[in-house]
Amino acid sequence: MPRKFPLEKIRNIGIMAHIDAGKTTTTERILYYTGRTYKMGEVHEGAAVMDWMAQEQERGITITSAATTTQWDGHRINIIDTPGHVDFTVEVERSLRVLDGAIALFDSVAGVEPQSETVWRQADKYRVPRIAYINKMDRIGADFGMACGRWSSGSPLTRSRSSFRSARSPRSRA
Amino acid sequence: MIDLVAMNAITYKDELGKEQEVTDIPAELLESARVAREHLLEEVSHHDDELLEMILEEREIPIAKLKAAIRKATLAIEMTPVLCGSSFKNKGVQPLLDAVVDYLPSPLDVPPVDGLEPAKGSRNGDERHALRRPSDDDPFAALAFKIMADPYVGKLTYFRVYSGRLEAGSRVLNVNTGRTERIGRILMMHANDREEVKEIHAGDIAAAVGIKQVSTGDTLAASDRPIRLETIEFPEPVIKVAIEPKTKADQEKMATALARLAEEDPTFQVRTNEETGQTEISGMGELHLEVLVDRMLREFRVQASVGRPQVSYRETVRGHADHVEGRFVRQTGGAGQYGIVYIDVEPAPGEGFDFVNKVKGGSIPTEFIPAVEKGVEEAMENGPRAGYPMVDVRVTLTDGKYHETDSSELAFKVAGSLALKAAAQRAKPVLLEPIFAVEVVTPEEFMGDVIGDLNRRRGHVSGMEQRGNAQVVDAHVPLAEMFGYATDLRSMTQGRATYTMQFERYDEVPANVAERVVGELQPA
Repeated sequence: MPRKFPLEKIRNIGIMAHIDAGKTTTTERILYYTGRTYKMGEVHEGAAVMDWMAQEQERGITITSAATTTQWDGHRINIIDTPGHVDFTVEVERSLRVLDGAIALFDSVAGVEPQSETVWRQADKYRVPRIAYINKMDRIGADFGMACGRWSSGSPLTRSRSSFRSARSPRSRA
Repeated sequence: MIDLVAMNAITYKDELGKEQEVTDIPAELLESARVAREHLLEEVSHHDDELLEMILEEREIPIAKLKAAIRKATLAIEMTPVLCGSSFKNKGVQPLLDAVVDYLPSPLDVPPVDGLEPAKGSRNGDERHALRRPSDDDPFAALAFKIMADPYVGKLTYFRVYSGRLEAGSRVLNVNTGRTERIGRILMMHANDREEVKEIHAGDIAAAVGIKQVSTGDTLAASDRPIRLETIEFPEPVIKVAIEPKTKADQEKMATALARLAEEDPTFQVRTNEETGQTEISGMGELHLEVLVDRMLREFRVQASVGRPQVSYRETVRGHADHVEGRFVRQTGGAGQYGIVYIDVEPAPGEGFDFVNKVKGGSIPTEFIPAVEKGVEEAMENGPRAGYPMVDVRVTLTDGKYHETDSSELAFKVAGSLALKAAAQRAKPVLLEPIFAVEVVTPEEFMGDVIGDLNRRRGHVSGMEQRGNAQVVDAHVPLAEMFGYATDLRSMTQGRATYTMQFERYDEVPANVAERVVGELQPA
């Protein structure tokens, strides 16, 4: 059986962040838009596809890292959704070890939390390239500048420069 | 939403966010978008000379060129592109997917994986570095990164293929165990659903059914071209709890269940306390252990009662002890035992356990040295203060005596153990406890109470800052004082404060507290 996707069209990525930044919600959306699922599973309803373990659905948290595969724009994307709670940090560690890239999620209201720094350091350790995604931009108190600002000053994250790719102004809300 | 690379606006047409319309940037946002793009170009041009030239010459920059420059800098981890959106409100996820494709690496963009393979023609275990390229034509090599017990198919092994290809039904070598394993089926995982495939290739992530002996971090490789990839390091558990089966029937089931769970989770450890005979499980936090006990009940139907969580203390030495004798001599008729060793003990912060052999002139025959080390290591399991494992100690073997016929491995092992026990007593042994970094987010009016309470818990407040309309307090607190904090914090602040904590380091327990910890361990 020949391979369906040439190597340059494969992305092995992880989604990592502190607790409640919306990792699993984002993953559910990715699965929906890529046509992998027909209905979006909501974490707070205990219906997320990726949080399938009974304990995960009851508590609304991710405990074990879940793997999934989807397609976008002719690429195969293998995604590992990792837990944010510090007790399950081992799941993040082992996922980063085998991944090529990662999406680091930040909460635009809470900014860079201690755990964001931990996962960031873990990613540095394994030299995993990443893109940052500032989530929850619709929330009151969302502050894109703060999330980036705190990030580029006075924290271990300084080593990486941030750059704005797309900034969403409150006025442009659809 | 504005795309600063393509300089256009994305508007979402429906609630589900499936329909997007790409338009020109609205006039009122154009100015700030220009400023932001300027900033973007400036940042990217730090990493790309060609781009810098184009900017200086004020030429139009093609989108493809800009994307390529961002990709290059991202792959080199010099830069991190930032995107934004609201996943819950279904905004901004497609641009994120585009960015994954545009800027994150494919398996070809990361360096070839490095491992150790047995040197050619060598029989004594010599190894040398070797690379495996991400190609289907290279020999098969993969890393098992997750083991999961599945009620239907048995053990599932998740692995990442670095090179080569693998067919279902074929055999691979587990380089770490030395066993050849048959891959029964290969599955592409989709959360808890799975899709069976016949073959997988370099760069893929999949799960295998049928591997009998495997643990997290093991390398699977082609039998004729073995290679050992770097394994995964895991943190040490910091909290433990005694667990007891409710009935006789549960006893046996519990052992199986715990063994299975420990196999899945390298930070979960099971051991029997030699003094009390109880089974103790240890892990990374209260939630971690709670979830594991809950899973044991549901997945394995084992009823068990759980004790109060206890801190996993460690012990180390603060002083030196030189030339301490360990003597194990029994010579009363028949075959005797004879082993005498002399060791130095000193602190070795951050090194765990370090054993140095400085025996000269064969006062201990080389073949007995590993036995001494083993004896020392075993004795380190039970520290002199309160029987907790010792860490960060360097032991130097300086001298010894042996007997032509009566010396044996056993004799030297026991001598090593005795020497360490004696030396540790003399080298100012201390108790270490895990310290956690705690961050509390609280409304301003409760800040005084929160800080006062943290101080009572032997905490050190290291910083405070305003975040929105809340106060953030950062502190370092010993784990021993943090049990039940969730409840206390809630009642103290009418449920309006939240906190997170994570392991920071091990630190010395103050003398008065240490007395109490040691005292609690002594049978009354």
